[in-house]
Amino acid sequence: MADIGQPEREIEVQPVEAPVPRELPVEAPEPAPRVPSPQPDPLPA
Amino acid sequence: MSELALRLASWVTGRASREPVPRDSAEEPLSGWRVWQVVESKDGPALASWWVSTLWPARRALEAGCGMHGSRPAVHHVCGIHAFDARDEALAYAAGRRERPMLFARTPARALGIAVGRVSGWGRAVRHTRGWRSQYAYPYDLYLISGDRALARMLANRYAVETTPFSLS
Repeated sequence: MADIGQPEREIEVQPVEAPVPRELPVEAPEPAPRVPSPQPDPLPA
Repeated sequence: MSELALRLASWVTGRASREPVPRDSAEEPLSGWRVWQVVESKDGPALASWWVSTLWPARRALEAGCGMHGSRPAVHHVCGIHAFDARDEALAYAAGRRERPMLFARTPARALGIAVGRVSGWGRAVRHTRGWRSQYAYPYDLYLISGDRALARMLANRYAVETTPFSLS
């Protein structure tokens, strides 16, 4: 058995929601690199 | 009676042989450290308690079970799911007892990997000077001390917690 020392107090821990994840947290995708817009054709003189 | 004898007596009988302790309530889950063996199960790699043959279920809480007190840990007993306050104490617990033969114990050498991590505890709990015991628990995050990235990925997918290959050196 793990030796965690002497008992100090009883606690009734009632979280609003049980800390059991349903899904792995998904990291926000990195923004796509900006593609430079093609230069407009020079206007005919 | 010596301190050790008192502890053994209370462990064997499960009776409160000491002064009652204060009672408290909380909404935030307790947080502590544990070490697990990663073992093969019919559903793939699973977390197993270090010396007790308990497999930790995925995506639902592990509930304690005691022949005398059910799932709610009693103050002057050893029942409940244990966690240490300090990571190093959890590691020392695992390292310090590896050489001792124990009945029904898994052999760490046969494990797929070893994980250390934080664990959340809730329900009825008993706070100790260096850790706690709780009625329910679930891993919060995992660091693989031994095992590769593929194993980390499988554990992360199974338990839905962040799992990181980790070196103590």
